[in-house]
Amino acid sequence: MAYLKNILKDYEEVLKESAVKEIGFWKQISRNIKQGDVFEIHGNAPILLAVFDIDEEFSDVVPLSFQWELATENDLIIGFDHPLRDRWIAELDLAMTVPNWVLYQSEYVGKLSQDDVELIDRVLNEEEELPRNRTGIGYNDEIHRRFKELERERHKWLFEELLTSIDDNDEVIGIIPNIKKILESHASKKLAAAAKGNAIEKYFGTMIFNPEEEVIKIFFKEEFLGRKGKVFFKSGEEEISIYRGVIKDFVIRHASKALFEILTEVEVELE
Amino acid sequence: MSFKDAVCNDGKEFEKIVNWITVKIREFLKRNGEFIEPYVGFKDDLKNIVALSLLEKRERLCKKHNLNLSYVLISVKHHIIDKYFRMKHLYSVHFSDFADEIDIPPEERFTEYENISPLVKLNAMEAVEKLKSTLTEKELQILCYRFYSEVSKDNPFLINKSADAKYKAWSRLRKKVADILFPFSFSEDEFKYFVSLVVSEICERIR
Repeated sequence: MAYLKNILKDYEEVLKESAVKEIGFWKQISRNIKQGDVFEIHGNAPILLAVFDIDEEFSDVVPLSFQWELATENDLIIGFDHPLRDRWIAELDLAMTVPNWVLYQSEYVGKLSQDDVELIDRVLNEEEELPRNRTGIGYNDEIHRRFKELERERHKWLFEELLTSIDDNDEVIGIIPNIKKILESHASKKLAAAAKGNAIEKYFGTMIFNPEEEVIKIFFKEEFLGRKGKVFFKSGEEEISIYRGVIKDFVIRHASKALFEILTEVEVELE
Repeated sequence: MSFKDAVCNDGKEFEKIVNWITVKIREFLKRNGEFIEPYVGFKDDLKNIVALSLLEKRERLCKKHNLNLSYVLISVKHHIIDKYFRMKHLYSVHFSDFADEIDIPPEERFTEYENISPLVKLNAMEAVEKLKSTLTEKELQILCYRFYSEVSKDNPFLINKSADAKYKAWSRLRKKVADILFPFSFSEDEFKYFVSLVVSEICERIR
């Protein structure tokens, strides 16, 4: 147990340092999301989400962790090729639903093996139990409880995004922290940017920034509404997807003036 | 030169990174030296192992747009732990001692093995698979005769043999099993877990 205590302590240190320090573009998925796809939100202990059930707006995902030594009896040990490790755990007890925009904004980093996808699917549907030789043992001791507490904490913001996304009044999307950093850094690099007001007319509609509420509202023109497309930001050859799916008026939360200034340069492309 | 350039190209900067990572991993190994041991002895070559590991991970790491030192350290550290180390045990029990000396009290025979790390589980499962693939059907019956008596008074194995014949059968098999299990270096607790796994994964299926 002392070894696991040391591993846990090291993991806590990694999480403390896990804020994204450097930013850059990454490979987002250009096709539709499929079962088994794995998406990453960067950090030294990155958030990796393996997709299971998918519908138009939301997907059921299972988070992955590289700290497989701390696996509990609810975690499946899997092989997954990644720069940080080749052995991960799928944390089935933390399975959750996320809005699809989170996945489209994240980096697509690969797929689970078909066998693992089918096994996890069966376990999530309660058709089968996890095979004992591929799980940890126990979950209720101090070390495993603390590990799961850390895991829940670092994934908590996804649950909050889900709650906000199912707001009945508006279509609400967020910008994941990594993307926000990139966009704001581009805004700050703009030389002598003309001071924009808080509203702008674009070819696809109107964008309005409300500084009191810290939201950006996008109202699309009739010809865009109801059609499938993407909203993206382009810098040279690189492209960042903000939203993909059926185009409807939406609200971006936790917005800053800098974010608004850069988002006024987004483009919309219909499928 | 950016940090990423230093990682992704050979040169003095790359060597500096290797040196720094080596120091960090040495600290980790020192903190955990009583729990893990290398598969092959390389303590003097740790720097070379770090350099090799970083070169092996380089292609994957350099596909990322940005890298930072901590990220690279985590990547290399995990690579080295997973490839070169296994759990070490405080109380190594040579299997041949087990036959005569360990008497597991009944209340401990079906202990709930909570808090055993997955490393230990994998080690034990590997040992079970090794036994299954190496021993004949007849030898498995003898093995189960010996192990089952640790978990239950009603032993269904070798029931048609006399006590003397059972003892001789086990004596002949013991060294072969000890040799198979020796590389797994089970501690006392791990061995108990391993016995329970043999009973459930082998004996219950062939009785």
